[in-house]
Amino acid sequence: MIKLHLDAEKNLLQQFSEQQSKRAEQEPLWLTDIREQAQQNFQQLGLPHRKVENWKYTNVSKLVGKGFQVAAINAMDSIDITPYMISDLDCYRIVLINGQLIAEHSDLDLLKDNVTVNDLATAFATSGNSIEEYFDKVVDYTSQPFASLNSMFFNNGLLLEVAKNAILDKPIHIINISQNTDADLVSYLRNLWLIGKNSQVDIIESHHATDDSCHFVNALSEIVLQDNARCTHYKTHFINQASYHVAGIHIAQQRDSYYEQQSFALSGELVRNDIQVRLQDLGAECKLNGLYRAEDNQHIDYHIIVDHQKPHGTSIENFKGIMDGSGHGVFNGKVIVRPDAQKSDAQQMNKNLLLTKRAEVDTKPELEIYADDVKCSHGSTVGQLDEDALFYLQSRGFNAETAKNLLVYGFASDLINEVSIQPLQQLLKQEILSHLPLVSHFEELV
Amino acid sequence: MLEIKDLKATVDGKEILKGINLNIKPGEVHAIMGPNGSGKSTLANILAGRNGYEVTGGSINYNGHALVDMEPEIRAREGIFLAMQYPIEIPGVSNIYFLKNAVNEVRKHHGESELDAMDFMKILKEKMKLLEMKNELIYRAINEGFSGGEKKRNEILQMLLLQPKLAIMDETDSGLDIDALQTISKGVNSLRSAERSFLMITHYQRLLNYIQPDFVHVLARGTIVKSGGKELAAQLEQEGYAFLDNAEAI
Repeated sequence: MIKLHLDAEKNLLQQFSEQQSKRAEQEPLWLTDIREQAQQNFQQLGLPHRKVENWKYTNVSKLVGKGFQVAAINAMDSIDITPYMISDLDCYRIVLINGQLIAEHSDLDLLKDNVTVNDLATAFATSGNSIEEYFDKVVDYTSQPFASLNSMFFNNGLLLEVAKNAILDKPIHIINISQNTDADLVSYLRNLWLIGKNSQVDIIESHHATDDSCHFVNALSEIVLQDNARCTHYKTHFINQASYHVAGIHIAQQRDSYYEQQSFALSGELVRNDIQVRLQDLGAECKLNGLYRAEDNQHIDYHIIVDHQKPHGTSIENFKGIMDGSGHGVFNGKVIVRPDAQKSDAQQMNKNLLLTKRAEVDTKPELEIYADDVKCSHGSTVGQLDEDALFYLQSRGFNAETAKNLLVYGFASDLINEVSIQPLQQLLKQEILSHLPLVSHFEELV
Repeated sequence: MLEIKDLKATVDGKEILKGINLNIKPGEVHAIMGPNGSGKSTLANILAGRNGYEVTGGSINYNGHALVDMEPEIRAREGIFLAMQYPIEIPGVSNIYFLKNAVNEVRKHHGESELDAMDFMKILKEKMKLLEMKNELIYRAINEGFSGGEKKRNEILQMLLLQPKLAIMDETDSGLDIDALQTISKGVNSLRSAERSFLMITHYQRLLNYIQPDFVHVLARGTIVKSGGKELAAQLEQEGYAFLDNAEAI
């Protein structure tokens, strides 16, 4: 395993120096510095293995065995995006294929008063915009070798700027499509979202694969919420069961801003989400919800840091896991309350349901509190289905399998019901119910 | 309808039922009374098929079937209904979904067509009116946020919808105010018929003023120590269970 790691690292560094010699001529100097800094980070960290605390429960050897060739982002043949749209959803659409913005499928004109959408390469080539001020400033590379790789190798990505005071009337749906041309490709997605002062936006970020082969996506997002901005961010994977998705989402919140993420990881062979929220100024509030489900040979992993840096910050985390077959889930949530962050309110809850004896979940809530006037709570549970509830349903004529499925659905339902965009809620219901055959249609469920 | 012969059962290796004999014919209403820990709820749970009880001796015959071999859902579809002492809350599943599908599971089992939403609603509304239940309760998750009385009414609502052959009520009256008790009794009495039998388990004689039993049995230390007509209940109310200290099993 160690040899595999060393070979892969060597190969990556080699690839990087080859690319960089060509890139450095085209890209601004500050970006070259970022890439080289990332390379040094990566060299220091290496590819993770199970002896590294932050990756203890995440076996990435199957990723490491891949060739890590960067997926090409040549102009795509015309692609039908209908399968990736959410039916009945009235939205502004942005489509990216392997990290490349596809203007012809995106509603750039409709958005232009309120939201500026650009591809990163174009933004880098244009001076005098805000990209230099924010790009790479939010991400924290500590223990994040995949984030380092992203900064080394990303070719393009999405710059989304919500204008000051803009209130969007419809959600933005960002469709990320992974298109494989070769089995060993990695597609690097890079996002910078700047949510302007006093603005309000709902963003749906969905991930898809064009076929059933193994897709490997390495995504890195930086999100900045300026004063009093509000953003609700829905993240869903509709990737196939053979695919890998490794994502870092780093959020910086300024004064009185509100960020909400509702994350749904219901498919994929290996999914890792590192979510890091920094409440950088007074009165910032974040709410993180997550629902994850793993069955045979699946690994779903959330690593979360919420960093209260200034007074009167609020954070609420509610994560639930459903582990079936030999599925493996990981929840690692750390809340830091800095000495300055008096009157912080931090709540964290992680509940897990193990449906078989072979299923596994590792849950680790952590609190690091350096201020004395704070309200913090955390808890985690791992349990099986309630025998009394199963019996109750059976005693009313439901067979054991249906009774079990109703209870699993019930366990997940509060998180699904919190999705306030109805067409997305319906889609997620369908997704979860596709694993839970019931006696009749789900429309009548609460 | 139900013949229980020398039934013995253990919970966690401890013998709770030590030889119960009980014979319930169609149309009869039986009440079982007795002090705490006498085995009343154990008997109800064994009849409905709850896990965690081991039948170590004797037999239960229900309409020609050996009951202990049947899964709980088959018992339910064959007409056994247990109104629970502590109804369970189930988040995320609406009461109406639960009620409608429960009814249709039973109908399917008997080769009848499933009720559609309209037909079902008609029947549901009528039963809810009888039990003076608020309409909103059917759209909430099962028993979630229901008061104690609403939960018990919901149990009886299920009973009215499922039309069981043998209805077992496990302390349905406990914790109810007099209005709720009267309403629930009205619901139960509306179901009484020559074909349908009832087994009521209660601590309190009060329930039996509203639902009059044909037979009253006293269960103590795992056996039925005394049986009689409804006057036995009144006697117990006056004299308490003190006589049990001297009584022998019958």
